[in-house]
Amino acid sequence: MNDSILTLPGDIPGLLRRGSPVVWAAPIRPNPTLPAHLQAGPGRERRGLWMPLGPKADEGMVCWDTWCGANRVEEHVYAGDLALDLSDPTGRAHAAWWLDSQPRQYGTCWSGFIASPRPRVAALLGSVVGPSELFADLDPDDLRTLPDGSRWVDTEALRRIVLHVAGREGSDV
Amino acid sequence: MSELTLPGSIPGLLRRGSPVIALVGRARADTRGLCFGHGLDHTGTLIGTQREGVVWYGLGDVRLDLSDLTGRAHALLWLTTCDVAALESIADDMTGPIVDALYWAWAGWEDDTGAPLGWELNLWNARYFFLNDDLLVDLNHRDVDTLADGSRAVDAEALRRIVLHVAGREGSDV
Repeated sequence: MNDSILTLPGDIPGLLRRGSPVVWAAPIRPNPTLPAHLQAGPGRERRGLWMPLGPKADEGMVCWDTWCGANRVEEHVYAGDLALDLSDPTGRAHAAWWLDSQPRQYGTCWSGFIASPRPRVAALLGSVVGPSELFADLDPDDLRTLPDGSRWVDTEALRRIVLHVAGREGSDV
Repeated sequence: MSELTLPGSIPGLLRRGSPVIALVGRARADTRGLCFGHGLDHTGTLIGTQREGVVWYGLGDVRLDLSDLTGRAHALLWLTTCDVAALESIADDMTGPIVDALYWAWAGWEDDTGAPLGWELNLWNARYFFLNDDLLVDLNHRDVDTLADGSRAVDAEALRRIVLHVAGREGSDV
């Protein structure tokens, strides 16, 4: 398990909301306005919160969870350079609500089963939600947890469904 | 209907990403922002606004914004952490603890004449019934006023009252 991959592409239309927890997903790209210790790079995962600018919300401000002297660092960022952080319960909620806003491909209530009690989630996903190959390698009884106590397998299942519905399977973020 | 906010000073209510309204301080009145985290002593929080960047506020100077869907989710998440006995004290029946805040819905109960009997909070794994409860008795579940996001204002107000009650903050203005 690697919780660093529990993210969804920020450029899925409508996925990011005001307050979404995000991680910097852009390739290593120097930003000359930031000091060296704040540059993105391997082992320097940057997390922050998304504040969209305007209704289209493909660009906005991110306030990073890092400090520069006494100040937080804020940056103007494009949604495509970000990924929604599913290790945070707010990120999972935003992903579930996005799913709920999509046409029902499998005639079921997305957000309902995503929020279901923990032991049942993955099993329900496999039986109710359609393409079983999406979850074939997930073990419903996998008890590994994220730092907040949530089950990793539930979040991974949510991530796969969103990618599938968004037509972004194979996405690298 | 009261302003759809909850006091930021309720311990554990504000989370990272909570939509808040800052009441005083450097920001102008009614400035909306996001909560970025608390101080170690949990007396203050960092609020980010587009106009003023990130500013430090006392928890008594900010309120959770329930007109925002994320705010309502954070209020419900707070209920998952509260003392179940406090919820039991107002719920006439409950089928289980709240375990998640991604899905919830309110339903109204009426008698044969259409007179309101009470409220039912439906979660994925649990139901809470608030029948003839003073807390919600004056709320009309048929009220169709909506918030900016299309959600029903009366549902948010019901959630607000329950959190205030469970937190022991009814009548509180901060």
